[in-house]
Amino acid sequence: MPRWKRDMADAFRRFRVSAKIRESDVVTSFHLAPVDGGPLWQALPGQYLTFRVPTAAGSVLKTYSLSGDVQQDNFHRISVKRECAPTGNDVPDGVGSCWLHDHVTEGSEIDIAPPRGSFVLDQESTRPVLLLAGGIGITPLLAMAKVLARSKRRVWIFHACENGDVQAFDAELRALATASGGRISLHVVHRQPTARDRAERRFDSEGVIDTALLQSHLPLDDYEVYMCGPTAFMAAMYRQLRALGIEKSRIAYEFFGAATSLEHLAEQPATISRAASHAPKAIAALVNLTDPEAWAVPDTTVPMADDIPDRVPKDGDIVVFAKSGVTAAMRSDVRTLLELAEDKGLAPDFSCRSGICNTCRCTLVEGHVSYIEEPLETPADGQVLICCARPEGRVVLDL
Amino acid sequence: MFLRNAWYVAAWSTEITRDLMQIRVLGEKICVFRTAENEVIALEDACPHRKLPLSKGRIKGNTVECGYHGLTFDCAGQCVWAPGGGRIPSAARVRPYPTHEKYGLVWIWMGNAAMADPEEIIDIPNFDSSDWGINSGDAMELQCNYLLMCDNLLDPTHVAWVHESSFAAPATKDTPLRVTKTANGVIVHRWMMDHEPAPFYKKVVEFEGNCDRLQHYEVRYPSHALIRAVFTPAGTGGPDGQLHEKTFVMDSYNFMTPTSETETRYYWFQLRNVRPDDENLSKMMAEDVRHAFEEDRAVLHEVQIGMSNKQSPHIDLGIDAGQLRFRRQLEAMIAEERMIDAKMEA
Repeated sequence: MPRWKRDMADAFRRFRVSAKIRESDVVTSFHLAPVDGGPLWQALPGQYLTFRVPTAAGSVLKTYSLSGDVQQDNFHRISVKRECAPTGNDVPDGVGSCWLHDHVTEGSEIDIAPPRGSFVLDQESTRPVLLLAGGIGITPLLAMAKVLARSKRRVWIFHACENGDVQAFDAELRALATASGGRISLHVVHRQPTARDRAERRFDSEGVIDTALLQSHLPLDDYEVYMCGPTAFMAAMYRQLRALGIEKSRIAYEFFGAATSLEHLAEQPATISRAASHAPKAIAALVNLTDPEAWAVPDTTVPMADDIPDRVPKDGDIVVFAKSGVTAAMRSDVRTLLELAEDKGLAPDFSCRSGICNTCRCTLVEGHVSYIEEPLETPADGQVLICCARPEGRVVLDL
Repeated sequence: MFLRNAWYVAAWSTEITRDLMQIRVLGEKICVFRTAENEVIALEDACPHRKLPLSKGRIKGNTVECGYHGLTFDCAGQCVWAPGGGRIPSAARVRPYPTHEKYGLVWIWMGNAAMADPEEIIDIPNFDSSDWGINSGDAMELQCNYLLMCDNLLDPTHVAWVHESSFAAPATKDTPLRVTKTANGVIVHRWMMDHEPAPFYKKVVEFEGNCDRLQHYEVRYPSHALIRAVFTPAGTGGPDGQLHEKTFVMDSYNFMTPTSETETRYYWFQLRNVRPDDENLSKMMAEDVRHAFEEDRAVLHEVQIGMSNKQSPHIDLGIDAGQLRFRRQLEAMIAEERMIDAKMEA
């Protein structure tokens, strides 16, 4: 091996496992101290470390969220759920967690790369915080909670778990809540509590986190939401938060594994084309060849004119073009405010007609609009891109 | 503005030999050569003494000797000899860059070396398949910012005007596009149904008559494109098409390496699912593709000049949606990278 390659490997810093602590039937924490004796890395609450995991076929990189107090601990802590049913084609999901659980012991030395990730707590903000965790998704949120414990912000933590045997960090979270003097509230939800959970009252609610539960515990407020958990959990939470009127921009989330967009997932589960199975060999090697959207893990699909079903406007969907002195009811045969204006003989400026160039931007004097295409940049409050917006009720435009 | 924690193409494998050579990547000058054991080495191309490029010096075994005062560096960039009676100053080293050879290309990692993982190099599933033919790779210098070429490769419409004699057909003018953002890039695609194959493809498809055609234009961060063309007999294509056995597929892989803010080295090759061993076909396709890409080069050079010397604002059209979404996400990734670098340094 050339020397620089050894040096590259060395640049992955070496850490010793100073403690290996069982947190639940399936979750184990690892405390990590740098072998070089130097300072810990600076990390932001919510970030993860990258681990070099040895496998029979060479090493692979796996990431684990920091779960400890990233500002005060004198070690880095990760907490890992043992994934015992590997799936996937190349590197099984469970390869890193099984290695950590089964082979790494106190005293083991492992190679780790510095903290990364943009799913981090906004420490400048003073808004109340909602932390929504599904299962092991609690880890980055626990790091956030520990920092929030030293703030003045109101914090609600909801932790959804299968039962008390697999639930981790109950004691740590309870301690944060107790010490906060009522500023931090913890609510534990067990989907299928065991007899022991019932006997020891180890949960606050049974079932899942639903809109009614959130509504009954949360006063109406301008929350910042951080959530992490299994995909289905996150999609359900995202739907509920949106239904409760929480702005998209106030919802931060992190997937473990392949990233995608919750907005998309919440609306339409991806469909898989099977066309390739009928294809000749050299074509069948391509997965889902004919529909890139099916195999590309769509995140944002920008709708085209043809995709948008006729929308029947409600009675009150009225547009007032104030400067022109024209008032018009929205109709089902025009898609956008721009098309309505043109239909009425007005000639607003436009260029792209698809929400990317901002040429058509104008002042929204009154009312609310919805977007049939997601603008490239969300217009500021009080502004509207008329080329891709429809009225929701009575709208007054400075046109 | 470049994403640094990413693999870029440094050169074709055949371009790097035992001779010292300078390449430029993201505006940095890098000295590349092979060791006696055939490993590719990439070092900052400036002696720390008076900054003479090491590539102007000599290769001595597996070390590089500066052509000015003989400072000698090993493959890790560490100085192993300097004038001064055997004492080597602690700052006498040059930065080494991780490299990896794959698909006949040398890839170079420009960011934090600790994060360099060759597994992250783009996956090309059919590269080694005997069912797929390949036309030999090529490269050219573009006199434009690399993002203008990324724009071009997220733009299925330009073929109607730029590549009239090769890729264009009437349907390429105004068939609507679909834009999909993925975890690692943007795809712009469209199906064009029941029309005569474009001239370049008419020569290679193995069926008669009209076709259904997919244009799949995909660019992955930072600047790697997969342009997939599917031609299938009319009536067998579309998103739910059943892929007739005569379906023709060409996957064009395109890698843009920014050499500076205004220059790009552009690498490519194509894989096809017909007549894999037909060397004449490979040769013809390679020549035609090169000719078409020269057409892009001429346009993009002028666009670079035009966009850098605007006398009036430019406009964006609906067909630019994929490009602008790609640029916006890449900017966000670059900003995140800088934020993290700053935090790590602090």
